[in-house]
Amino acid sequence: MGYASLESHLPSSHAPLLPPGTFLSISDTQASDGNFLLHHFVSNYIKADQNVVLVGLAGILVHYTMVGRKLGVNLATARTKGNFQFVDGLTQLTDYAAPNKEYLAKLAEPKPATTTSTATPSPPTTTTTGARITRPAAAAATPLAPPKVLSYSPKLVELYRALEGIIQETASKTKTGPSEKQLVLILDDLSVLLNCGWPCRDVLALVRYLKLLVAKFNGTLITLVHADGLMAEEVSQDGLVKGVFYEADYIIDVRGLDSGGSRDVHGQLSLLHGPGYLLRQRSGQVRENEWPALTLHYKILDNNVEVFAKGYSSGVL
Amino acid sequence: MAPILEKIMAGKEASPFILVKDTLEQSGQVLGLELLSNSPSDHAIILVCAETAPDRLLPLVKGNQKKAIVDCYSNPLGWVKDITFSTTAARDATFENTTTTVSLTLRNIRKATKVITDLITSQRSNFTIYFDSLSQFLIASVPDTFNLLRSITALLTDTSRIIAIHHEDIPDADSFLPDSSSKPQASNSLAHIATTLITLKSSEALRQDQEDFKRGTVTAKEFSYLTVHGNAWDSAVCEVEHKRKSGKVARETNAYHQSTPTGNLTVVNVWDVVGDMPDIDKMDLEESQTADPAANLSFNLNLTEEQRKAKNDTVLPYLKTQESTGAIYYEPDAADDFDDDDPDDDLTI
Repeated sequence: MGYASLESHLPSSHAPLLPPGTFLSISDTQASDGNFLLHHFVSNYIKADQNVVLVGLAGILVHYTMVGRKLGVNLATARTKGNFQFVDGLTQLTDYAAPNKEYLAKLAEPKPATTTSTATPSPPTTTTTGARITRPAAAAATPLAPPKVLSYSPKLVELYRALEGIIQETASKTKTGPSEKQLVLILDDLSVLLNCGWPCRDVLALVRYLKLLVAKFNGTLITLVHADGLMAEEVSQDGLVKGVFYEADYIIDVRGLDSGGSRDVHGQLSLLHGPGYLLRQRSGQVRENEWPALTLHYKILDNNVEVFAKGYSSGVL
Repeated sequence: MAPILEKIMAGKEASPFILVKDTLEQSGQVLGLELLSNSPSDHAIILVCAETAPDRLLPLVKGNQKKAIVDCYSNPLGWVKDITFSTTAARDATFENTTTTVSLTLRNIRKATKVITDLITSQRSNFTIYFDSLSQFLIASVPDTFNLLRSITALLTDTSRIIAIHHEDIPDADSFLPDSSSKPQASNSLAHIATTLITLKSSEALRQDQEDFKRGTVTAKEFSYLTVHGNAWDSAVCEVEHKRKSGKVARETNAYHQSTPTGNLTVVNVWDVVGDMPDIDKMDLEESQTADPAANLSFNLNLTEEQRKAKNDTVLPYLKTQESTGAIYYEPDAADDFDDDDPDDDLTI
């Protein structure tokens, strides 16, 4: 279980997992990082032996592994089992990080048995205009294949195709049991795509396509987007947050306290009803009080996050 | 006097273009679908789905009219070659029998216009076309979206109409350009061409405004894209501006109420939903309905016929001067020392 105090506030139909075919949008700010929620879901899905595809656009695998350890999951084991797939969307996403071809040619020369534990790509056979999922040579010594890397492409559709391939692969590998496993695709985070230069409209389209894709595989989509008040003046940032909120079925907004920082309360967490939720209520897919809209406070501890009602912080009681 | 929203819902007020303006805080989708469900039975209903999956939208349209779906949702930018996002509903035989589905991308709104107008003409009947989000079109191209609306308007018959949901808070394609402030806002232009404009507000937002008005203060609001009071299922406030064919414009603030999330909408007075309103509109109404001010006095301010005649016959003392060109008429009294000469004659400057 991730954070026990958060469980009761999440949709209960498929608890501790999310209902398949839905999209949870998490928004956060500079003052209050929403990352802790992602770790909660990673931990829950892995403990329930379901599939997780985590696209790290803003973080590296080591970070998730360390936090996972604190929450009691071993991401390395999960990767070997095939339950957990990490996609590196950080090191080579932009053309700034495009590999130096000469350097790579040298690497390709003798000693193919050298272990490469991080994501150094093998010499590309195609140019960088196409999408590649570079799979570094997994030498016999390493038991684990290094994570797949998303390489730069001027068109975001290539990124979609790369993720599509990964999801299909993950789902098919673990389809051995009688029932299909649930999948969760986590994008951490969307604002990176905007900052790297892809237009807002394309990023929103990516979210739409991914949402439809994971629904086919009995999955849920979770994304993180930055929604600071200061950034609202910028049209693309503002458009991205609003667009994502219109697409979402569930919205959790993590924000700092309006009155400033505090030792006992690190911020507030709001469960919000967006237009998508209203429509689902109208069609009867969610019952009246299944997921009430409310604001809670939270405090991040070393191994846990405490979520409590406003005014009930342990520092106050 | 029934609220204007109720008349529009019942079809008693004709309106060729109903525009529902909403925001994240209060979605207009539920109202839009209710308006659509009340379409006349001889209408063909065309659902243009850009923001909601067709299989989610179709069950919410009650009524037995013939339906056609334009699916702009599943493949907005043409990233997938064929639509394999078929849903269980699409495979259901009854669905296929009563509905035609056309898939579109939103990359080229002009092509989309052709497809939609062809679909309309192929229906060969009065129609109601429903856009679940014009904003998805506007984010592609503002002028092309307006051309799309114009092309549809050209096909409108006596009772056919367009119902469109527009999200005021989503930036349109023009907003992303550096010189966006000099261009007309798409929102305003849409409001001009719509014959009925319904702006949605959440009941809680209006309650807050009323509280502030009573107290005479404005509560400081911390920044958020959406509050916990957003999208309450039980009620919402609608500001309606309806332009009649005669040219008269009816402006009212109504509200709707639901007793269960899946139940029917009932149009109610806004103060039933928001609470007693000491608001300006109500006060203005009271003022304009006040009786004759000369009614309850202890003296008589009215004129009899004779008095009125006498009043009209009085000669006003300076009437002659009012009618003249501007020459000065000076009539000296006995005490005046009248001298026609110019007093400054003896000056040597």
